[in-house]
Amino acid sequence: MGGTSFWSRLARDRLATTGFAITVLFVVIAAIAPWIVPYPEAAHEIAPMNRLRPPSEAHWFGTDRLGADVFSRLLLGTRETLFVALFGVGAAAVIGVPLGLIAGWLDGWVSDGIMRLADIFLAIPQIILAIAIAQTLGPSLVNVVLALGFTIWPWFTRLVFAETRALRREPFIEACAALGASPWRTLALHVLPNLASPLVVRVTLSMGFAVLTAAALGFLGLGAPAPSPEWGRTIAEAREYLPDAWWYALAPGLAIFIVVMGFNMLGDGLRDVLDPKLRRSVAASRAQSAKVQEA
Amino acid sequence: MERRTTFKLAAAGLAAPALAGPALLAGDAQAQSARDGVLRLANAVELNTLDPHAVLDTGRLNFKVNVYDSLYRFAGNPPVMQPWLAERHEVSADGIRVRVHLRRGVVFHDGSPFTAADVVYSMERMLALQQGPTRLFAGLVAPGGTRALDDHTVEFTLTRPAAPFPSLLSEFYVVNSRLVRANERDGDWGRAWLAGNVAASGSWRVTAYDPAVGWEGERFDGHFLPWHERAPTGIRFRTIREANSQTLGMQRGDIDYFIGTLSADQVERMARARSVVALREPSTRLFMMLFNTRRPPFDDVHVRRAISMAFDYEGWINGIMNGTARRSTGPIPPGLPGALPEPVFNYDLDAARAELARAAVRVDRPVSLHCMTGIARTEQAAQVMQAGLRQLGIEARIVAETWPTLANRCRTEETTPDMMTIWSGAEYMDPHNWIGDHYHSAQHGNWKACSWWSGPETDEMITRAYQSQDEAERIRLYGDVARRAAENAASVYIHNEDWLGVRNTRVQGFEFTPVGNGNHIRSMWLQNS
Amino acid sequence: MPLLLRFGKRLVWSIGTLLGVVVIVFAISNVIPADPAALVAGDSATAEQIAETRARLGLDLPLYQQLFNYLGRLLQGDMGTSIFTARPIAEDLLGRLPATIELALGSMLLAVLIGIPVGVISALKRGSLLDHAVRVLTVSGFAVANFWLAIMLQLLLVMWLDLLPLFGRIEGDAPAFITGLYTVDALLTGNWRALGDALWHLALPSITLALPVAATIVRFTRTGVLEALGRPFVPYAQAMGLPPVIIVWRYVLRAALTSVVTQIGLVTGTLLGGAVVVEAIFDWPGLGGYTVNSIMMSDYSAVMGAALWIAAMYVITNVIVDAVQAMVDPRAAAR
Repeated sequence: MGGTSFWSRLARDRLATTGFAITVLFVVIAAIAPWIVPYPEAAHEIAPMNRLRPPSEAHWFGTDRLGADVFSRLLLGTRETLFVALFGVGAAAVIGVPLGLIAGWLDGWVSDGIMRLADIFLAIPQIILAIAIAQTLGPSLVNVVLALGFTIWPWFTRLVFAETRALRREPFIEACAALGASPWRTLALHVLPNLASPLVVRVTLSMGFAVLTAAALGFLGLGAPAPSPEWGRTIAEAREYLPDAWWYALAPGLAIFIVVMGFNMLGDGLRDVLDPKLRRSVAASRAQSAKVQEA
Repeated sequence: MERRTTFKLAAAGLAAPALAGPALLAGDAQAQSARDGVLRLANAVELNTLDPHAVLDTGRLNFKVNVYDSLYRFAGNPPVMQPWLAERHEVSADGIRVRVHLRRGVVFHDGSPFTAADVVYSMERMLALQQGPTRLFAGLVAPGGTRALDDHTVEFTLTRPAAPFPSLLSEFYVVNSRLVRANERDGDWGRAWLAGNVAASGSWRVTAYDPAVGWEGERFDGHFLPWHERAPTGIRFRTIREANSQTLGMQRGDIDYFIGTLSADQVERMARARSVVALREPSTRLFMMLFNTRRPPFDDVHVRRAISMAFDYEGWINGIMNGTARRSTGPIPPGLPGALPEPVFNYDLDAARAELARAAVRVDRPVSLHCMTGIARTEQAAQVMQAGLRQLGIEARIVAETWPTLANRCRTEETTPDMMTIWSGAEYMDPHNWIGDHYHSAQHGNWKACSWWSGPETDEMITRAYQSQDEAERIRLYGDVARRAAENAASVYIHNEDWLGVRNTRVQGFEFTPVGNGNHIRSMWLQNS
Repeated sequence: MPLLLRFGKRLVWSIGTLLGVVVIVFAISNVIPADPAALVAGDSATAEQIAETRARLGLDLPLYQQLFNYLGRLLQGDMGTSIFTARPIAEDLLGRLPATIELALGSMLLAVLIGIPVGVISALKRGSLLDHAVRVLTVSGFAVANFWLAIMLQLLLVMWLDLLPLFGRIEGDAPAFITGLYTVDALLTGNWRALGDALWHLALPSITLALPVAATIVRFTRTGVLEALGRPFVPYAQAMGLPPVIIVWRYVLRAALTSVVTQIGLVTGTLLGGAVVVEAIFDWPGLGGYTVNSIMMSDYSAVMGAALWIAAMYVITNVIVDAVQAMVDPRAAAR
């Protein structure tokens, strides 16, 4: 991917640019949130006599059930969300990519076994798997990361498997083998770099999924414990006060929406730029790899 | 596939075809007019079993108290014990034998007569099942300790004298022994069958039950008590978990009466509809935070006292509870005999710091505050405590766990959390409910006693109070233990909350009693709209 | 017959997958913090009684032996007894199955009815304002959290506009039991009141669940139609003088549908997963709500049972989709 042409092609896609802008903004806010929010202590301090106040100049998005500033907690919540998405998808890649490489490189029962395992994990609807794992491990942010890792990895395995299989027959890879390079060396130095583009796309798209799943776990009380400003749990807290305190549930829901939208649009754009063969959607790549797998 | 899998038929005894779901729910016009006489109730907790000997928590009480009958029943506020299936009882001079004379002419839903044999069977069954209510009787009545003297007289032989025993009988529900016996499987005391079927004599006769939806019943006109002339002809019970759905359902008139713990905010919102009346009754539900007093640093009384002064009681009660609770003064709910007049500790961070300095140990590790998954009130209290502890320089971590997990932790000292939030309601109306169950060492291993705060001296006082027939002495003894527990900060005694409820304007005759916490609907009747 | 053979192979593969699901779910549920023996034994059980219960339930055996026993019982249709409801789990699940099937079918139907026409129109008007709007909307469809959408729809459509009911499957009386799907039963018995009532209640949860599915279908229909429009049979049909309406809705759409049908199988997973959260919000008495409840009550065998059933529904749907596709388009099946 040539630097300039990559950026200029990305810049031409309006949705992708928007997605990129949202993602950057999100990461920046997450990085500096504690220093820019109007009420930095809103993460842990309470003001029982000032609770459930509607939006005002002092509190743009009102106050919550314990009197904390909803806007401040919303911005502070970006850190939780980014952490979970980044490390959840990271964990999935750490599990899924090596397995995919091995399965793609080898033939026989190891390869079959790995891919069967991936199929089995995908046969359980992801949120159910994530709920079961998160509940088993106990509610905490780190456990949400683990639940996401164990839920998302098969996507990586399938993708890497299919690409490795295709690359294995390429003359330059066969040449490596002929020159006596060890399989590990070949995989790490020659196969993996060629997987960068599809992996970047996969990671970006998985981030959106991870944010949604983490929010659902938070909503069910399986995420970070109180007083975490995590968005899913904030919506769960707010339910009791609907319809009156509408600001309380509205803001975090919109935040989730915008962030996931950002990741998805960026992912779609990246795919179009990096992977012209595959001008398809999130689910398409899944279907694609499913087909490759079945064939 | 049988129909029972969807909306399971659980009519008492040999279900008359007329009670079957489709028939009950048949013709549109008929159903419409019939529904006007139907009381539509909702609560938040799924009714997972119909077995009266498996349930003790208030969340699932509604079924037990309205479909089954107990020997005694509490009514009114403050609660007074009333004869129910029992007419009266005598206690032998040594306090060991309790002879209960049963009401005559009572019939079960299937028309068979109620006799002493049913009482004997029910007691044996409850003891064998080891579920919720067994805790109240275990060790007090031994298996085989219940005898039928004749068809209408039962004698309980206790293992030791127990003054609160008759009031415990309000939690003892009687099943139709002949019907249950016929449905026993491999000596399971009919456990599998009774979970989805009914063998009762109570006010309502169940016509349909689906754990996912709720239950429906029709008025049992054969009940031994007379009915109000406009008593509902049927009841329809729905489980609605979502707070948002509860509020909207009440406002829209889909629900006539809501049973269960509502927050002050929610009641206020519901009552904004013209057809909704807010209900508020003083009750006896203590909300507290237990320490594991056997684990450092909570074995140091100064640490416990300091923490007791770090909770913003004022903000909690007036802010978060909207003033719907009273500050609790100690383990016995205010207003009851033996309760302390004033709380020992108030929110005072300076005094807390001073107290902390006096402690022999330093709090040099994060402490964990356990609350209940999905129960917002417990989580909020933990947050308020956490904010207070932060001011003292103590780091606290909040851990949410499901109730079964928490109750399971309480079995041993080692697994009991540092601190945890609980409610202690009136399972029966006697100070022993708040003192003996919480602070007698014999109760260790039960969740109520998991502050592990006890001693030979208090054990002795409690035992004496338990066995004494002298009411004044009992109250003095329980009061003394209560004072010791409060002064030693065995727990953080937060509040005693009012019961909050809502009814539609067409529902009349509501009578509240703290034992059962709003679950009794026997006296209700419907105003023509 | 190759078609039958392929179907048979697929079936065997599915059973193997489900077996794997059992093993995974078993592994997960065996590290839960609550002690199932203590839960079964009851609140007032002594340590000895708990140990006794543990032995009786076979929970003291080595894990692999427990798994073996579980599989053996499973083959006899015995999924164990729920700690929470004290009833056979299979019976509990069977009672809730129709509600989930009805919700899943309703949402899928809604998604297809919206997704395919919108996808076709969007492809035909490629590059237009409408197409852009559709593209943005489909991206949004994937991005919205379903539990939040459910709550917002409740506020908007129930509270402020008072259009739809709030929760549950039916207000009045359920139609006579045939399939357990209220809408189908009402149709079969000609009970129009119940049909209206059931549809009325089905609307809100279906809309919530259908949104991401509809978005997927729109995208695949759009892509499929665009690809098909580029195929040589289109100019040929035009030359034959066929009206554009026929070309598009008959030939182009049929060619485009192959990938859409595969998607319908795959998004069933999204749908069933979404149902877990959405059922809980709408008090919909299905498998999803049961799963959440069982998890909250640490009812480990019920969680295993429910997860297994949901996975089975997903796998079976995909086998059916596969079979349908093979029948509609044998060439695709042969690939």
